[in-house]
Amino acid sequence: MEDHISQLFDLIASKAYRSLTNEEKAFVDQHISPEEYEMQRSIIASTEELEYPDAIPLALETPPVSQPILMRTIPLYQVLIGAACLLVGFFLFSGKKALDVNFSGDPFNISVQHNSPVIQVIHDTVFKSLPLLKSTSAALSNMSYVIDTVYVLNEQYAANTRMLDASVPSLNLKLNESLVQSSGLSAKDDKSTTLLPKSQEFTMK
Amino acid sequence: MVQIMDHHSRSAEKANAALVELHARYSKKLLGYFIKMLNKDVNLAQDFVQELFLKIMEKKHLFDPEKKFYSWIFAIASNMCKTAYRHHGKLVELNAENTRFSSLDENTFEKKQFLSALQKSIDELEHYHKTVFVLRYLEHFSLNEIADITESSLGTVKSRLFYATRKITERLKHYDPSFETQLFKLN
Repeated sequence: MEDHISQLFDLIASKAYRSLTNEEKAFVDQHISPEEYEMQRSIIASTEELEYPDAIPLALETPPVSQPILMRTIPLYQVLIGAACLLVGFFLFSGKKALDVNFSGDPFNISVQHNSPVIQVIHDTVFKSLPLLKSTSAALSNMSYVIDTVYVLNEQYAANTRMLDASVPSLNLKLNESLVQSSGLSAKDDKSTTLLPKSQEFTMK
Repeated sequence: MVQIMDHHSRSAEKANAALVELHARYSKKLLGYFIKMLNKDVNLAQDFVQELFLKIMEKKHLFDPEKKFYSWIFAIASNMCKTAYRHHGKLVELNAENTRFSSLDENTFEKKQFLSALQKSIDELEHYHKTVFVLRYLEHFSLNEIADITESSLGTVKSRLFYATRKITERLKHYDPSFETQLFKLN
């Protein structure tokens, strides 16, 4: 079938009906009428006379050229903003470790990783060692703080090794505290001297 | 053309330069083809030309150097028209100027009327018939070139041309072909 159509097409494109041989006419007549044959030729010829707008193509709008990211230029302010963000991030996060709190279930036993920068655990009870009379200045410097409960350590005085051996067992804690709070006045002006025993034991004869 | 595609596509700027060169060579013929396929809608045809060259840029890797370049771009153009047909159906509205015959004498009037009907009949063809008809009789491509563009056999092209012409003939048979010319240039 396609061969016949192809042959018909070739004949229509090349010869008028009256120019066909008898064999060709017989072949054509088997498929289409002579009028249709000529009409097809007329239509093909008439296409030459069809008129279409003669427009001029518009200029090509080429897409913007996209450069690789390393080849692109960026404004200076973006560089400065980026550098500032880097610096801020560096100072915020440098040297700080993540918080590592271990809740073991015991509310009184919460451990925090050593040198944790965020939380400092303040226990409910703080033990304080009061400075004693015999304490040295170094002992005073180790003073702690009491928040809730204070345990006062009553400690026996050490054996008096002083030559004069004041032997004043009644010299109690009140005197000690007064001595601690001494403002550095002379003995004459210090009220705490009234608590001292007035005996001749201290008088040098 | 293959050289242009190969040498100028190394960087984006050179690829654009190649595209401009291709546009200068083929845009007018493509615009004429689109105008005929899109029923004389010049604005739509201009858009199609622009879109086609962007497609060429995007799909340049699909170009087969063994084939002719213009066959490739007309194949793309033909597919674009096919897509437009699918989306919008047949675009059969003719421009108003095709129906104005007021100042013509009788013979010219009849001829104009016939040409107008012929134009409408071409526009109403099925897409695959219209494509081969336009390429052959309006754009004057050879049968082998049309076979390349439509990616079909030579026999199929001849068959489609025959049936396309036959459909037009049936629609125009009430016209007396007394004005037929002797301008047969078919090889």
